[in-house]
Amino acid sequence: MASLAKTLIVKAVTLIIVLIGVLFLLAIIMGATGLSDKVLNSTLTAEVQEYKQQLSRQIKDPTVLERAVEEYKKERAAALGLDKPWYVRLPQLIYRLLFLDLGYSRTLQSSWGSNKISDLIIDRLPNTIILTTTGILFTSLVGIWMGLYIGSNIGSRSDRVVSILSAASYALPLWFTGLVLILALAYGPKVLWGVQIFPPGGMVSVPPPKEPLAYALDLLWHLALPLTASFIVFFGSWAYTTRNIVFNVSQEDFVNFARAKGLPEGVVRSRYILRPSLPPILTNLILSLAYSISGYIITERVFNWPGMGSLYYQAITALDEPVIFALTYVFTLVYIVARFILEVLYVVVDPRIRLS
Amino acid sequence: MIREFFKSPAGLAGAAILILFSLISIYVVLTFPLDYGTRYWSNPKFWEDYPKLVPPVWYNYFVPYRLPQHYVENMYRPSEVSENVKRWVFNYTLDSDKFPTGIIFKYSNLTFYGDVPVISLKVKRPDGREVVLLDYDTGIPPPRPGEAAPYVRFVENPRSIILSADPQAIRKVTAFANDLGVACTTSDVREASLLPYIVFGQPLSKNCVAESFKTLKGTYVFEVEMVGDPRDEIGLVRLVIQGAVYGAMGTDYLGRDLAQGLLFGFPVALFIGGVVALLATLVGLALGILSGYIGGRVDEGIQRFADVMNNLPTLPLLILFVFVLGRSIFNIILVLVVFGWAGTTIIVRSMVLSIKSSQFVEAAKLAGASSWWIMRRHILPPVLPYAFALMIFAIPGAILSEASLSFLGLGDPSIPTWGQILQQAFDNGALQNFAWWWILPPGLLIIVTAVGFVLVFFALEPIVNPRLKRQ
Repeated sequence: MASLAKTLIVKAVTLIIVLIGVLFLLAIIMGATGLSDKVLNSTLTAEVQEYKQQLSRQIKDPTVLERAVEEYKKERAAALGLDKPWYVRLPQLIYRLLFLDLGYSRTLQSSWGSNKISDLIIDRLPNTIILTTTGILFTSLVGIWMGLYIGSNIGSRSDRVVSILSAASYALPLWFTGLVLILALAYGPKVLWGVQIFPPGGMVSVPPPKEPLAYALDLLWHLALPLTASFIVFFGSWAYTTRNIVFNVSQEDFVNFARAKGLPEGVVRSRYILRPSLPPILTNLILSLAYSISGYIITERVFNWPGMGSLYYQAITALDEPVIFALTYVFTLVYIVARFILEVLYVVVDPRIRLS
Repeated sequence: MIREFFKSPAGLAGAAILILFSLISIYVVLTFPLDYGTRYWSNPKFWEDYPKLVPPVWYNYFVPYRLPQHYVENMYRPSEVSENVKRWVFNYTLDSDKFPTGIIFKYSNLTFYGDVPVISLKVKRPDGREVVLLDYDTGIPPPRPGEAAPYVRFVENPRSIILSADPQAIRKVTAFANDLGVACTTSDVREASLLPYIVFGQPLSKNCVAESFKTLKGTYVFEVEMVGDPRDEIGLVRLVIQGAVYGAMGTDYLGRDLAQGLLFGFPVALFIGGVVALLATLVGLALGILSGYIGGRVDEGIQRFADVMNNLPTLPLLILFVFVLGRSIFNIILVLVVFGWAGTTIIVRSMVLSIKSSQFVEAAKLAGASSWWIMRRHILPPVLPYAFALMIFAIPGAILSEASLSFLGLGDPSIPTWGQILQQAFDNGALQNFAWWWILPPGLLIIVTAVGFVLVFFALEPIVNPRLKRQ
């Protein structure tokens, strides 16, 4: 038991080191390339310009004006942290992030106009969960169920179909599938016959329906295309991975032995094959869910879905440094928490790890 | 081994795709200039004459009506000369059910001796009516003070009049529409780009909309006339009737010939995929061998690092790095390599572990061979074939990543790629206009390339991986 605790602690420490490492890497990239300074300077120039214009209406004397502007510039530079070099400024940012103080964005705002990054995330996260998490859960559950079935029917026709699908899913980008679906099912019917079968993007209609039931149906209508795209692309690979895991386990000697003993096939399948197949399947599921928080950045853009992925993209194009840092931190944190949950789960579902 | 590879249908199909694509790439590299992207593709001026956002020529075979072809005619000398009048006559035959998308009148190398010559354009329609499109060209700069005859104009940049946007032509055509009995105002004609409909159409109703016109089939005679000094001349007169279909692949919103952009994408995709996969595999192979053979702390360190790099959510980081470092093709390659080596390292290490304990390594050690020698002569050769297969497998990943980055607008702006064509299509209304020829081909090419490599990998894997061979 003591060794188990030690293993878990070692894992936890490594994961935290990874987290800090990623943030430091980020700080060096932003700092050493001069990007951080450039962004802050352009913000400063804009602020000072605005202040000067405001002030010039009240103060007519150019020297007094110049002095006041100079003072304001110095004050703003200190507030933005521009008076210190990046290797002092950015580590402070990291330190704050580590204690989950995400800070404030420079330009991006949440839908109710807040500049707090935690508000931004609270605003966007549910949307991402609605889109990607439901997509992954739905696809993976169907895929895993299918994989379990064909894993014990290797070489059948459905097995071959799934193998081809899995190869296709490696080569098929989700965002392109989304584009094709929008083209064929949203704009195609609209342009050719003037009927709107599916919406081309967005999360709800504008304006959104008032009634809760109508709202939910509207949301489902908007979800249909992204979910279909995600199903087409990921179903094959889920089924194929599960099939391989199940197949490998069913080749093991203890399975043959159970069969030789004359145990009914149902018992062999659920007790002898399914149980040891569970940890790797679980790993896949939990890691995909963790990844899904960072969203399908491109897919959200294609479907104009206001989630975490499009937030990250907006932060990068708007050069909103604190948001970039905070989101990268949150994505990495989620991944690391997921990895740790997995380590604990392995111990629970796999007695071999518990005992060794 | 090669025979074994070609026995599998997957290998055969994959190899066929890759050979075809490589041949196309070689053709493109030999025939396209290297600065094609900056000089032509991203230069809207070059594509001025091309019809905008029209489907490919073969689209005509799939629709019940006929779409007009693109028409370009150059004339280097006048068809008729009489005293001080010169005429250039163009015969254009319209036999389609749909209308051309525009008319462009161009000329260059204008030389005149006295006053600015009067250059006019009119068209004689099959129904005998005559429409004057331009009375005289107001865009010729008059002689500057101190400039001596002959005055030469439009040498570097030709004079180019896009009739649908020219106020004089719109006025004339609106008057003609009224003659035909269609109630049009100049602003109707300008905003709905009705000029080609009026010039080439006969009215069905009085409403000033595109639907109230039907094409008037037959031969149209366009006549360019220059009145001035007898010595005045024009080097080149060009008439462009923009079609409603173009080329093998259609055009985009700037009129760019998509066939050219798609062709140029072949070598770029293969180059990026190949270089990234090669470098990432080399790094992964080296680290994997070191990690597996040396063991201990080094092994622990490399494996932990590789594990992290292999599992981090890479797309956000890829986007960030390319954005920060700058959108050049070498930065993209660099970033893809940095995030691409880890998987190979983990697999190679596990192979090295089993080779390390085999008897020939033991024997070499006893014989006094150095670690370097053993790694190079005994570990590397058996690992190499599988590393090669892994490299093939890494190529489609790199191609897809580059396409993703390009689609987010992070591609190298000086080199057209399939991902960038898709990005421009998405950002410039290809979906809203149902421009399927602009969206489907680049995406399908990306997918087919990736499938080609994946198929080759599938055929290669059982051959190079001894463990899979038994099954």
